[in-house]
Amino acid sequence: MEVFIPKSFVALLLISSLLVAMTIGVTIERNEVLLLATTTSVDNSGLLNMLISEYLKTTPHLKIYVVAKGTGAALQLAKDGDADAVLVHAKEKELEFVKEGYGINRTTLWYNYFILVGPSSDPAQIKTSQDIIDAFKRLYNSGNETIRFLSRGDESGTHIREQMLWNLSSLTPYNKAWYLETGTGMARTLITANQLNAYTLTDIGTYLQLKQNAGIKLVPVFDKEIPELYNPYSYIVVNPKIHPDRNTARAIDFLLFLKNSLDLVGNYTIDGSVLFHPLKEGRSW
Amino acid sequence: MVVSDFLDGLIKILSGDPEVWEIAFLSIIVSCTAVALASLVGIPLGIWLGSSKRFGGLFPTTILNTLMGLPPVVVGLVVFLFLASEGPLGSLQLVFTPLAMVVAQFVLTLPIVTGLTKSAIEDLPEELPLLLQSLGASPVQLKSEVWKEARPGIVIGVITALGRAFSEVGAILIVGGNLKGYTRVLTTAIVTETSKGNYGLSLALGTLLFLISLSLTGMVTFLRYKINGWT
Repeated sequence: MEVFIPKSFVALLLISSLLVAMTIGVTIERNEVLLLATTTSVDNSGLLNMLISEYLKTTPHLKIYVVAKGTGAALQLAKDGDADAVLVHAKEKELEFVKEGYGINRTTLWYNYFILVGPSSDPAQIKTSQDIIDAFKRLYNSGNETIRFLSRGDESGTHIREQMLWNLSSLTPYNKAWYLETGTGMARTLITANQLNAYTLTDIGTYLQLKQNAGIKLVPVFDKEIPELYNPYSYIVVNPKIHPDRNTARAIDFLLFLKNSLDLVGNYTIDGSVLFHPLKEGRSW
Repeated sequence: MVVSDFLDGLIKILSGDPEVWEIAFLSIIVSCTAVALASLVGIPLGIWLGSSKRFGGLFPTTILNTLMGLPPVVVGLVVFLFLASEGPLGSLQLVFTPLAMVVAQFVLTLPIVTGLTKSAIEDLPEELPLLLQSLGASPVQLKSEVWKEARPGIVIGVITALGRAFSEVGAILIVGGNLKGYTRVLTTAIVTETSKGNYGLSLALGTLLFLISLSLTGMVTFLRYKINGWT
């Protein structure tokens, strides 16, 4: 039996093979790769990009890819063996990750503080609160259809801390109409809060970055440097015993570089403000 | 502020910023590869479904039409679960690569090409085969005529699939991971820049996306008229 094959279909076959070849071409990595899973707050601040380009100056054939997710998602990626190292900020989750054997060499590199931001008119009168528990109580008591609180709602380090602070204040706002979850990154949440004139908890780095880039009008309403708002960032190398195919050697080398480059971190400012304070001794508690 | 940032962004693009063009190039390669492969499978499949009495009924048509509207994020999630290190195809190590993005967009566009090819065949006049046979056409000539008649409708299917692949963000974001310099494409770059509050640059990238989409669709449409005449 004769089979009919139109000419244009033969052409399509040729074009397809060519395109597949090109895709394979861009897929095959000729360079060594370091895949780093981190949080949106680190990525959005621009600090990591600066550090990476500094590191790449000495290692031209390396490519560093950054996946920016919430701390929870970043750790999950590492557990599944889809990352070489993580840079995150949720102490309990980090310790659990290391305890379960997924991570090694956990090193706390730098810190900043979480702050509460809100509309400059401060309708919930957070600015005059005595401590963070008082601030959250005021938020809870004045929450209504115009005074709202935005939560990240994405299992990120910031989200975990926010839940911890509600717990500390013995309050459960999660089913209230004024409590809204964005389910996205820090920058996106700040932009949304800005549009809705709402309060939110943020790390100071992302806030300063957004204030400059997107002109957000929210102001810090509670920015005391207290232990409850202390926000340390840790680097953890994925355990090669569990995922032997990961680039552990490079992940450790990058950690050494980060430890030696803490001056760069301390000098990284936006609008004259330091975003992250280096922990010189490189504590690993 | 957005307007001046937008102009800065356009200048950055037009001055041939290598990062932007790498992103645009990857967008084109990934989407075109996916749609070319989807056409390779979907057109014969659609022709077969369209001319088959048994498989062209209400039930398969409903299924196919539903698949045509598959949400990209769901396709992305399922493909991701298959390709992730812990998944059944994890040993291929395809997750977060351009090839994985092709796979996701292939799954997304295959029902579109198949469905629209099928309806192009079904829309042909019922008496066409009989008419051709009565004119003494051989089976091969018959198929060739049917193909010629259905071709404009099939091309519309390919253009629709291309538009879908090119503008889609959910699936490639999940399977590609939006890695800067490797799997970042125009749509995911727009998401990234928008989430950082860089609206001007996002808008400029959006303009570039629109222009590339316009030229690709224009090329396919041009081919269709060139083949079928300019009427």
